[in-house]
Amino acid sequence: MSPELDPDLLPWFAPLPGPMIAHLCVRLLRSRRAKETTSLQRLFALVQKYRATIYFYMDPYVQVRLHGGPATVGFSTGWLLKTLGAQAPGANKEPISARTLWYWRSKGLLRYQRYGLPDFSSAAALLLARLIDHVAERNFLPTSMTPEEQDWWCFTQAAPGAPVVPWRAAHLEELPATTLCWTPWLGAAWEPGWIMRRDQTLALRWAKLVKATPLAYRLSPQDLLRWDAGCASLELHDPDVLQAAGLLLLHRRALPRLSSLDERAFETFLQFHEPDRSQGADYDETGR
Amino acid sequence: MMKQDDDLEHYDPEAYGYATENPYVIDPDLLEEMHRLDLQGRLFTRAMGGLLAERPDFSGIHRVLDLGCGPGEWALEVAREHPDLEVVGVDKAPRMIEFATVRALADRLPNTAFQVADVTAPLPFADQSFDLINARFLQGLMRPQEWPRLVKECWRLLRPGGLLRLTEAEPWLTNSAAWEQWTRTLMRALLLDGRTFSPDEAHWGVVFMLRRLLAEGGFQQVQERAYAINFSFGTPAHEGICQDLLISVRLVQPFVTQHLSEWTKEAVEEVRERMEQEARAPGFCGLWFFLSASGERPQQGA
Repeated sequence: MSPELDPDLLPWFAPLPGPMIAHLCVRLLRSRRAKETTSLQRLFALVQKYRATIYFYMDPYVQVRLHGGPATVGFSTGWLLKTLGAQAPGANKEPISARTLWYWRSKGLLRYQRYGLPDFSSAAALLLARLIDHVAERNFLPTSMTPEEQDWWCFTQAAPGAPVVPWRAAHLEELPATTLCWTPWLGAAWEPGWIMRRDQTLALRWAKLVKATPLAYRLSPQDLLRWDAGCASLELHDPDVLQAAGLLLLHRRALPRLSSLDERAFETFLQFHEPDRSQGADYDETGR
Repeated sequence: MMKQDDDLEHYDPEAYGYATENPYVIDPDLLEEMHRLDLQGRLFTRAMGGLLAERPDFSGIHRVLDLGCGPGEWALEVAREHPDLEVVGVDKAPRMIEFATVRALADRLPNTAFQVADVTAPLPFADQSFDLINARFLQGLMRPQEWPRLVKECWRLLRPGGLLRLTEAEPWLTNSAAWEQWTRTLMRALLLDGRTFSPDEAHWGVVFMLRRLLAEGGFQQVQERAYAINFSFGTPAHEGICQDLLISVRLVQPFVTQHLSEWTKEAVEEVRERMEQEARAPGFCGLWFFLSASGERPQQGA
C-alpha cells in the first residue's frame, strides 16, 4: 500500500487495492483541468459510478461459474482478456494478449483463485481501473503490487459504538467473531460469507465463518445480545435461531451504514482528513 | 421540409442531404451503455405500467419477440414472470446478445433465446412464428425509410391476431439552458445523419409516425398510449432519468463530434457538467414524453 494513503480511505474505493487507488489519483490529476475537484473526490465519484456497472456486467458470468457452468460461457481468463480489450480506448477491440496477462500476474496486479480462474474481485479491480482511466491504452495500472497490497478493504466495527476500522477483506478471520463487516462492493457477495442486502446497496457479513453452505457464522448468544439486547426474547440456544438472529441483526445493523457510503458523506470524511487530502494530490507516478 | 408523399417506402433521406451509413449512435460494446440501457429499460417498464399494459395477462400469447433487445432486460423479465411463454430477443450487437444469454443462464430462464440479428434486415424466423413483437426505442438504430420495411417484416413474423407494439420517445423538455442546448445539438447531429422524421432539429419526429406506420403496414385496431415521465428535481424519477441522460451525453459524443466538429469532446464534457449542475438545482423541471402504438395483424386477409 502506498504509505501516503490514509488507510481509513481504502474501504470507500473497494474493490480497488491501495496502490491502484493512488495510481488512478495520479492519472486523474494529469488528465483533468485544474479547476476540478481534488483527484480523490473525482476518483470516488468515478468508483461509485463504474463499480455498479462492473458488478452489473460481471455478475451473470460469475454466477454461471459459481454454479458449475462451463468456463467457455462463464467468467474465466479468456472472458477477462476479451472484456478488458473491448473497453480499452481507441478502435482496437482485440482481447488483451496472454503475454500482458502473464506480466500482470508476475507483477501482482491480477490474483488467481486457481488455475484458469482469476480472483473475482481482483479482476473487477482491473476492469474498474480500465473504465476509470479512459485516457490511454496503457498505464492504467500501477507498476506492481506486493501480495500484502493486493487486497481490497472493507469497513469493520467490533461492537456497537466502537470505532469503524478499515480491514483487509481477505483477513477477516483475524477479527473478533461478531465484528460487523460491510462494503459498497457488491461483488463481495461472490465470496463465501458475504451476503447482499436485497436492495443491492451493500454487502455485509460477520467476521468469522463456520461454513458457507448453508451459511453459518461463529456466533454466540452473548455476542448477539451485545449488538441487540432485544434478542434476549429469542431462543438463542437453538443453533438455527441463533443463525437466523445473526442474519437479521446483520441487516438491521447495516441500515445506518447506508448513508455513510454516499458522496456527501465522503466529502465530510475528507474534510476531517485534510492532511491526507493534500497528500492525495501530491502522489507521483511511483507512489512516493 | 419532409416530402408530402404519403408513401414512406419512397421517402429518400439523401434528397435532404442525409448520410447513409447506419451504425448505432453509441458503441454497443461499452459496459456503461449496457448498464445504462438496463436501468433505462426498468424505468420505462415501470412508467408504462408493466411489461405489457395493453394485455397485462399476456392472454393468447405463446411466443414473444423483442426487437433490439439490448442487454435483455424486458425479454428476461417477461420470461421470468411468464415461464410458460417462449421469449426470443434479437439485437445487432453480439456483446449484448452474449450478455443477455448468460443472464438467462444465470437466472435459470430456459424459456429464452437470444440471437444476433439486424432489425433493418430480414429476420431469421419463419413466417407467422410469433404472437407478440415488442420494439422499444429503436430510433437509435433506424432511419426513416427502414421503418416501413420493419413493420412489413413484423407482419410476416406475426400469426394472425398477433400484436406488434412499437414504443418510441421524443426529446425531453426542460427549463435548463444546458439541457436544451444539448437537446438541440443532439437532434441536429441526428438530423444530419438522416435519423429523424423531423424537418429540423426541433424533435425526433418518430412518435407521431407510429400509428401511420402500423396502419400502412396493414395492422388493425391500432391503439396509442402516451406516457410522460416527470423528472423534475425532487421527483422519484429525477435521479434515474438524469443519470441515464447524462451518461448518454458522454457515450454519444463521438457520434455528435463526427457530424458537428465544433462539438469536441471537451465542449461536450463542458455542457454535460453544466447539465449535471443545473439538474441539481431545486428549480430544475423536466418531462420526457413517449408513446406506445400497438396493432393487431388481422385474422383474415393476411
